[in-house]
Amino acid sequence: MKDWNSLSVDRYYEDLNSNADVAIGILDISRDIDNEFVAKRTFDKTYFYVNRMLKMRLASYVGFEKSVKTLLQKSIEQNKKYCMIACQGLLLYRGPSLVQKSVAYAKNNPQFFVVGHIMDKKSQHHYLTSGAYPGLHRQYLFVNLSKWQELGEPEFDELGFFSDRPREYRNVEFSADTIHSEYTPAWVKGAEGYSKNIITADGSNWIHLAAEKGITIDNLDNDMRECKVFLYPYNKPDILEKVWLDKRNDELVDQLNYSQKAWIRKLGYQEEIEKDRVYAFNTERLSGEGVRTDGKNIDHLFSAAAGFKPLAILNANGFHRGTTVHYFDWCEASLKFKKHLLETWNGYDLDEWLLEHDLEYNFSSTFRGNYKQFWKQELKEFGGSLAFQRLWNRYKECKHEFHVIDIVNDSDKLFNIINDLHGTKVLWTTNIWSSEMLHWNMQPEDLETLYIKFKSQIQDDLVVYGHDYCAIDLNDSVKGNYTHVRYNNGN
Amino acid sequence: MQELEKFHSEHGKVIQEKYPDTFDPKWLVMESGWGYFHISALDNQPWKEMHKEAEALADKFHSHREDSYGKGWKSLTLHGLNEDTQSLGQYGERDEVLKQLDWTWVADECPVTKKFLTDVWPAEFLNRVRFMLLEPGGYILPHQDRPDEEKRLSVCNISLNNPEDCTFVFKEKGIVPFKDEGSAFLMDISNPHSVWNKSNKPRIHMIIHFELGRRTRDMFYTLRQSFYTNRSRLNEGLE
Repeated sequence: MKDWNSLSVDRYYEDLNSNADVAIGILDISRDIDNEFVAKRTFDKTYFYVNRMLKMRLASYVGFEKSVKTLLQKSIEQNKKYCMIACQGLLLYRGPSLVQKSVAYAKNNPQFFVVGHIMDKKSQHHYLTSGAYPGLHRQYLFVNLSKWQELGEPEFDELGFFSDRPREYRNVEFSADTIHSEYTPAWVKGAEGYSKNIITADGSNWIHLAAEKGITIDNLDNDMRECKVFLYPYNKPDILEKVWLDKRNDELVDQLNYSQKAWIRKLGYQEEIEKDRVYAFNTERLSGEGVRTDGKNIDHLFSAAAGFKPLAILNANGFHRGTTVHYFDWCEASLKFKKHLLETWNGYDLDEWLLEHDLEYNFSSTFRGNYKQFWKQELKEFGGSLAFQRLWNRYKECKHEFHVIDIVNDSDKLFNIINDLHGTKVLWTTNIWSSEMLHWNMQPEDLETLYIKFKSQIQDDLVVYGHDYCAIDLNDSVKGNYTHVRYNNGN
Repeated sequence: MQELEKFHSEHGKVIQEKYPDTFDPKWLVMESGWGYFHISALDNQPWKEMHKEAEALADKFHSHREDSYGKGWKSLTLHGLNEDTQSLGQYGERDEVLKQLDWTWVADECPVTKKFLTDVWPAEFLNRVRFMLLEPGGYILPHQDRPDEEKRLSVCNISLNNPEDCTFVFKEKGIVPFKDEGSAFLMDISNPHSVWNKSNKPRIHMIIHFELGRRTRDMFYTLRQSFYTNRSRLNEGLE
């Protein structure tokens, strides 16, 4: 089970190809959310996961709009073939995988129009739309833009009541197979004849148009569904606001719907285990940023206590016997692990050392049970066992210091140490600023304030590695004026 | 007159419905049995400007129900078949009549009102929309516009003004608290009702017959905002 803890878990994507065909837009449903906090924060979080897909060059962002049609038109303007529409509140926590699966679906079904959550309203018994013509849930749509154009670029209609002017729509047939409930058929296609409908659902007009043209619409399969979760931000938003931070308040969480409950409970659990979470390996690439010290050996490395990235930075830039490695982390267990490893490990067969100490640490679930596989990968990146062992021995000889510091909320403490020292200094912050839990607990505007303070303390003589709060390489971020995408519902 | 006096004396009191804790649009519109509902989300519309537009056309109004239950009651149609559109049922096949509905010259003379109807009013289709004028001393005898089985909040009645001594009364539901500065209410017109303008000023309202169509959510959220505003005003004793 991979630990998708951050915006920049780029090591997971090394085998994913970038994609220039897919646009992604966020559907603005702020009007439906009777709580400003929830409206704002669900946008922030939807964009957070979209941003991860953008970082991986798997899609291009076309904006936050109230109309599906506008998002599709903007995608066409950018010469895209497909558009993924994520409703505000949709958390694409495995979005990159969903893009892959969707593009594969498109290649196998070149004449498809849309993949979405088909809602058979005659079987759903929904309070307001029971008996309505079937629709597509607006939480997620994957649209073939050329087919949408062929169909006349139709707007995605909202649910409607037509007492005087019933909609005459094509009859449809559903698959016998369903995805998870009797109202979620695997597909829908046209049938003989027409019927007049007083109640229509979201996207009913798209189903009618597809039925008219003999196009079958497929539902998302279970693999696709597992890549995302919808927070239903309009459902009990006041409760959702209360449990946003108070995730373990079972009495309140129990009042939410299934999907909301599952996500909040997952986060609550995740937050608990992250308190002493230890990363034996890194979730980001070990190299790629290259040498940044202009050929000077590192005298002081300030490093998060995670994985072997500090060794990779030292190895790439060069270091000497007098180099000091200053570990900082808000998590004491991570510092303890580093110290323990330095004191007791000989640089060979890390998988065995980890297995021996498996119960002493709360190792990240990504690596647990796969120590051997990840250790092999690590050795490969360091040039083999011998090369690593030599490096480890040199590294062990350095001076190592350990500091409990929360660099987001207490950056002064870190910079007090950094600024007291001289020589070639390098700081690696890993993906602390772009981590999932930090962004759940703190809105980007507040993070930006803290980040600006952090950034202002970086002196010209400090070489930096890591990512800022938008997952931009820290080296670029320090030099430029980057900011986050802001919530703007146009109201 | 005896019938009018009796109706107003029996039912002419303010009755306050009890608001549930949570808003449920289906319950409110279809099941509550309420006679009226204040759409307070529309309280800040330019009702006074709309009143001026209607008042300027006072001499163009047509007598309404003068031969049956209205006295001094007049109408002028903004959206319908012509400036004096009656109940749509009397013009033949409903589907065909609906296709012919359009803005009348009155709407062109009333740009603020028309803008409200096109840009603000939360429904996709307008059926018949009229200014309704009740002369000083005028009245509308108790009547119901729909049968009992069509009980629901449906038509919107907006006071562009409402002089102090002019009262709209529902049987058993009491006085509708229209405001002189302007206010919009959804009404259940299957409930017997009557109006009596005892003031010395003409009272001008606007009645909107509509179909939600694809703006159903817009209406729901307008009602939701109104529901919570009304409830909180009630709790604070402001309404």
